[in-house]
Amino acid sequence: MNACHEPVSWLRLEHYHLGELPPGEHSTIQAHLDGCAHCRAMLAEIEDDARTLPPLPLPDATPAQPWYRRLSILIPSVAGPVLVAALALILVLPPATTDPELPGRRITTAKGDVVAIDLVRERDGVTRQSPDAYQDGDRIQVQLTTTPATHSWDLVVLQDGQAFFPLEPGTTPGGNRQVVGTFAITGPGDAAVCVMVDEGRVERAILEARGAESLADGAACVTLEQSTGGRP
Amino acid sequence: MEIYRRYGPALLRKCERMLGNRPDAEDIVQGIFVDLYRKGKTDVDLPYLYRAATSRCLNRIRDSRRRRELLAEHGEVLISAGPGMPEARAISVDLLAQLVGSLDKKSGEILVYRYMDQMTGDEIAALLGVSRRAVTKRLTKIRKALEVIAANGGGEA
Repeated sequence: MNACHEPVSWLRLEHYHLGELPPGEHSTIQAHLDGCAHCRAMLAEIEDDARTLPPLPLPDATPAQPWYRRLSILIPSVAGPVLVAALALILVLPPATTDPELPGRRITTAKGDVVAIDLVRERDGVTRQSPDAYQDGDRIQVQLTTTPATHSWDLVVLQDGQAFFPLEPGTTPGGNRQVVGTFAITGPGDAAVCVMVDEGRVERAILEARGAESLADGAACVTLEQSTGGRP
Repeated sequence: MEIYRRYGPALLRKCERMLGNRPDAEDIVQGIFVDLYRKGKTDVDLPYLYRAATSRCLNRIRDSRRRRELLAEHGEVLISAGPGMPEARAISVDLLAQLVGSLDKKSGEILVYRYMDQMTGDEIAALLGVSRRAVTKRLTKIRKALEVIAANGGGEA
């Protein structure tokens, strides 16, 4: 392969491949490619990449009614002032801890918002909602259900006395079952997957140094036991 | 989502080069587009997405656990460039994992653009909206970090 004194960058080659370069720049790169086997090989890598783009797990465009709004369905449209007042009272009170419709584990933030975490496990193409165990290599999707306000969140996995951070921290606009990310999980040991939100977020450095004790009550955790059984 | 279909493959290739495996690359790329969708932001171009992907991949590598995994998966350290390359412009996944531990965020980003994405100093400056001189300064710092690793025989800097 001939030496290339200044290779075309991958970004420019991608632009070239997509036909997004201005005509002059396109011609310049074409001329370089004509005389450069190295860069032609790079372009061939792009052109020959026939792998399928995985489906994008977009949240529903019209999400299902969240649990805290379903209460309003119970109230007839002809409800009088007393019922409206009662509804208002219900909505401002923290939800009962036994609410069966709220998925996963939950916390109430300092501002009274409720946040719940639930997981979906994927193994060999088979998914399971709310798993209680994992095997090495399983993929774990994290879902948050929150009251309708923007919440900042961070996720920590506590395992074998250590804290890991498999997802980038982010914000969620609130609502029912927002998928915030997916990660692969490996052992050793049982894992506690915990979400921290808003003021309850603990700095990663502190979590790394002190582990689970630094979480206190500011997180909702789901525990996954490590299973060593054969893969299905 | 049209921008995902258009730019998703390019970002997957880039993230795979940085992380050394496809599943992690897919996680990062999907996360970028899901966030864009949630924000209703669909008028972004490939350079913007390249920066987002670089930042997220570097954060993933910085995570101590992932860093250990990468170092275990890719045992040997490659500092020299491959055949046909006039100077050391190619770095391996494991070397990247070592370097991000000793560089600040901006230098880590420039390292990737120069040594993995093969951008020129001018391209990097344009992408980051900084001067060519600022890029050169960072590249000098990066080369020093590379020399330290090379002097240690490829071990931790």
